[in-house]
Amino acid sequence: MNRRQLGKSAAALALLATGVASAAEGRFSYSGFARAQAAYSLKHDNPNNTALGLPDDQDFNLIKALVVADLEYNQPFEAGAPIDNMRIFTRWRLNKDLTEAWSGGIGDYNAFPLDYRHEGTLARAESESTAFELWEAFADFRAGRTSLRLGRQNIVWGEADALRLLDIVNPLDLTQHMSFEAGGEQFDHIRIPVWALRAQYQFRRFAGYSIDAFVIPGDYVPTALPDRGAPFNQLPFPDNAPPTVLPVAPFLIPGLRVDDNLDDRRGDWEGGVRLLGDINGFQYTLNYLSKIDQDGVTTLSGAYPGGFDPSTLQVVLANRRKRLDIYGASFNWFWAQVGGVLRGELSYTPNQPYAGPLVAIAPGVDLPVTTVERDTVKWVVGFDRPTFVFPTEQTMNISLQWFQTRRGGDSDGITILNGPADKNETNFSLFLSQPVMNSQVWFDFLAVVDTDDAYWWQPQVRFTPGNHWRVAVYANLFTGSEQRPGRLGSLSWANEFNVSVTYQF
Amino acid sequence: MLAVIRENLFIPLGFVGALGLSTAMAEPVPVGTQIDAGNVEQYKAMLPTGTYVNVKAGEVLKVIPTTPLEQLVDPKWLELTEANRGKAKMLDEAGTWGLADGSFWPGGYPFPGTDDPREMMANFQYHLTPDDIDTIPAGGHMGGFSLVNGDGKEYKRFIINLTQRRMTGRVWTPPLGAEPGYEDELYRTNTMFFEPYDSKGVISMNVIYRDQAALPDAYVYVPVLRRVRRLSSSQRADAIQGSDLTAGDVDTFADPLGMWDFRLLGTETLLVNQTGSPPSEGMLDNSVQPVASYYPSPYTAVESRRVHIIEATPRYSTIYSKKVLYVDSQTYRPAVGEFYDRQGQLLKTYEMNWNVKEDFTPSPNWIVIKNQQTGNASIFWVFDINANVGTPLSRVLTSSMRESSR
Repeated sequence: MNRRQLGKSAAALALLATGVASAAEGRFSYSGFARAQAAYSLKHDNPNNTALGLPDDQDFNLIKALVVADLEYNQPFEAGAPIDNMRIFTRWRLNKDLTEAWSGGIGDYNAFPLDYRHEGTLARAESESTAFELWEAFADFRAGRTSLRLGRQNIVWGEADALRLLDIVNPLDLTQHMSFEAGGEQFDHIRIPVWALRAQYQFRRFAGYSIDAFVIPGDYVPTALPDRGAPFNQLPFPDNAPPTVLPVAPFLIPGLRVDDNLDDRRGDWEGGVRLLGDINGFQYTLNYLSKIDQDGVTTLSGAYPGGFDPSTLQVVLANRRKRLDIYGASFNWFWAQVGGVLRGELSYTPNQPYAGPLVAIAPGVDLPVTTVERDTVKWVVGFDRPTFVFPTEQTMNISLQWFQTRRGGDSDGITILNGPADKNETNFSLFLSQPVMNSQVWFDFLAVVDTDDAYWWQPQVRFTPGNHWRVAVYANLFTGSEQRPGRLGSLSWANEFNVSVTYQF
Repeated sequence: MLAVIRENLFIPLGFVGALGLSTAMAEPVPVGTQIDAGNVEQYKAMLPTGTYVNVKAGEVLKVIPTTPLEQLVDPKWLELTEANRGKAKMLDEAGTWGLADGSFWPGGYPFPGTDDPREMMANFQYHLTPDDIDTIPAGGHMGGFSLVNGDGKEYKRFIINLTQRRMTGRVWTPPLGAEPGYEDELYRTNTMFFEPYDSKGVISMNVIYRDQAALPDAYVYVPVLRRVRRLSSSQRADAIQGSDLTAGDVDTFADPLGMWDFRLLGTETLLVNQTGSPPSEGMLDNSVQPVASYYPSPYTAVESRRVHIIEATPRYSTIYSKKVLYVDSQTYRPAVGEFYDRQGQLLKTYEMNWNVKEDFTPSPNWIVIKNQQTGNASIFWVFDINANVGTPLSRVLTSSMRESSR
């Protein structure tokens, strides 16, 4: 018996569900890892904290310890039972952020700032530096051609790497390290699981076809941004600044307040459905999602020149989170003649809301005053090919992607993060991964190129000897003249050198 | 009766005269004989080259009685072979076989008794005769995969389940004949990784087509990505998980037949394994250690059998210049594979160590893939495998892969 198989018994729940006679021997297992991670800042600077007058010359972007434990129970059933298999999966996390305590040049901030009405759905007990979470908790049921997953879970659709077009069911937790983790783990530990019911049915009459649907009955969770003052703070303006009274003209500089109505969205349902098909090896999906915008759009709270609260002498901005209809498709195809896999993904969002043009509402204060809507199409085409590049027994995996965002209407009429947006944006990415020494050492390299002259380079070396220890050393380097907010060149202050040591069990 | 006893106690060496061996070497090998590095030269001519080099490196062979075919293959399969004898046709140059109208082969060995090596390799595709192989209950821990370095030290170990489900030519469990909608496929495999943690939840799946000019389709569910990725199966010689196993090497040969040319070097009586391999479950808690760090413990069971020796040369650019396959002439199960590099030097040996259970489940208790140039080896040890357990279709569909992972 494997040491991980601690207990073998039939679960009472399973027995109740299907009858005592039909439960086979169940299996409980545990596994997980403990990781220490440090990201040394190469720039010691965050201009967003500078703008807020907060400490901004951090030595480290991140110092953290993370313990993850997966507890799993698998209960198969004998032939003739109403269900074939039941499985319960839980992931527990202990997340200790040590950046504030151990790094110089950083002030006080909350490493786990996510806060909203009925936040108990996060299943989290936290302080400003420690969080203990029931991160995932779901049950899988399989009965013939139907499967159900019920509970707190991740739902990932699409074909793109390092990009999220249809992979938008779960919001992201960007609070500690944005989405700058290396390689395949870029989103794994930062997708915030949501309470949902997911069902899938494989058609009997159409081989290779199935339908996959989910509903989130009310657990709306927004994107979690870093706290102001955090090493990765993205917001250069305060959320509630009082007015400033001056003895000379203009005598009064109004304050600024951001009203975020995310609590109002708690309880609203979200959902999606996709058809999976296969035509002679060309596999595709057709997708639809009804989602509430996880980021929202922040503009003046009232019709300009409104949006001023005379009682507090503050300009009031409001973050509005609209329900979005998102239509999409994806495909993959093994192109045997060239030995590679061609894949692609597309999303179309009619009337995607954006912040409108900036208007000078006070001396030196330019803010978007209106929300404008633009039909938005995002698509990515990727190509993967394992190739013997060096005289070893292992191929290098080479992945190329071409990613484009196209916005309808007037390109001059929208802003993103208070910067003018382009009508179209084009990015290319290249990912190389070469294992050596029987996959005990890996050399990885990610390059993302914004054709407007902005770049993200991520070289990485991974050591994976034996069964337990894993070490990753990598850098995140952002460069380029394209410095508008939200573009890669604007992130050069976040350049870092990263080391993580993991013990897995 | 005496003849039966003699048959089971002594190894006939009818081939030795043809090979010009000395009279002394023509002596039968008594059942129970142990062959090791100390006496292997005496038996060299009776062993595949791959076995000979491994015995010299420490493998220990134990001679067991020759096993009757009826104990190695389910009689129903043999009856089906006879019932369908003469109905199989090669449908194209690549080596796709089926009925004359192009439909799928209904079951049994398609070309029994053939002396055409491509037809032998078609028979080889049925060396696992069950409709499915899995654990009971399905999806459990089936075996381990140990990576051993040139010093004989195990440096990494995977715990896995490897399921195979036949999609056409189903003869044991419903749906019989073919899985509706999948008539162009031979079978699908599904490999689930349980350990180590960074491999846990990785599930790979291969679709093997009837068309022997078509590459398999390959998919993997990657837990950190939380989705299924389609893979290119074009690099047949790419090492799997850093091991000495490649996609095209599984059970010594796993490529579409159209990618290789075949030549029958001969059919000889050799000492090879077909059953009787000792259990390997002790590897799980390390109560069993491989002999000389690489080989089945406490011995490798071999018996005297008529073996087809087939030379396969690739039609595409790969790391091999040729493979020499030792395939049993009755069960069409592989015994040994020898893989030669582009310079013609022996690169790898691939030794199968079967144990056929009472229900005719062919359990490869030990599989040793050894790089003879570096000393690295990959040892696959199977401790729980069952035939015809009724593996459902959902186990081999891409849309279901995430259900066994996170």
